[in-house]
Amino acid sequence: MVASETHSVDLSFNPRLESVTAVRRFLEVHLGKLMRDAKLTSRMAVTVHELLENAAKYSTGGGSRLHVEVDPAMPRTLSISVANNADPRHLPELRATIDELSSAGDPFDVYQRFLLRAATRDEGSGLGLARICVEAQMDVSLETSDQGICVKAVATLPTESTK
Amino acid sequence: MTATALEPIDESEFRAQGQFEDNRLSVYLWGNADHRGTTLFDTFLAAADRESVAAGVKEVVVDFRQLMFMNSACLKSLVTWLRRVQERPPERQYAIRFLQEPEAHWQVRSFSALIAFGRGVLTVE
Repeated sequence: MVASETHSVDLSFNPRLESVTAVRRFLEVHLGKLMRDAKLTSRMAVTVHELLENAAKYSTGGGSRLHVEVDPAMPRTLSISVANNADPRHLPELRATIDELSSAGDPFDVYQRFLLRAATRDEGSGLGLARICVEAQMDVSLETSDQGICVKAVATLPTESTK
Repeated sequence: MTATALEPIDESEFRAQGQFEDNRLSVYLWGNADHRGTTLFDTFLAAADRESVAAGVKEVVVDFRQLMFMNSACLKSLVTWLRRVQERPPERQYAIRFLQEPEAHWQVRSFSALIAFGRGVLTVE
């Protein structure tokens, strides 16, 4: 791996639930070899999987764009985004979820709240973004435009993480 | 004992089986638990719980060491099960023990949250 080289994968496709695992596995193999960091690769895999499942479930068509970028410069960063068209009716809940996670004093405590809600929910788990924030330790943000939404997850690694 | 084995899940990428022995139910999971297995996993865990109560088991051991990945929907299946057991009177509860693969980093992270959630019922080793 060239020390200063940025690696990225850009996929524009119409994600189906059936294809999410295959894309995750491809990235685990491809970027995992470049990152040479099993924990970071695992964090990326969880993030990609959950973002793509959300896109497959809630996209209103027109395709999605997955962008994964690994910048090995110090501080190292891992950036993952999924952009797609979305039903505006889902936006308030999405925004509220990200706000709740972003403003949490203790992410572990807020995750317990999400787990408790999940245990009593009838539809969906509501855990995907919480998992990205707490388990994968990514900062999640939401951008909206006329073209749709983009959910972005970023991890900054100031020091070499444990292999 | 009402059963010696649970109805297994036998999909191409996800398998689960459970075996009753003495006062214990041993559950083994393999593969990739994603959206394709969610409904099956819900049904499997509901049966595991129902038959464990009927059989009076003291402990359910779930072996995750061959499970490569689990999505958030299947994670929800686990928390729903944990909650169901927690909410019972103590005399109708059983202990739950997860066997994790230390090299599967997602398990280490997910289970550290589940240990706190399943306090009093769940242990992980």
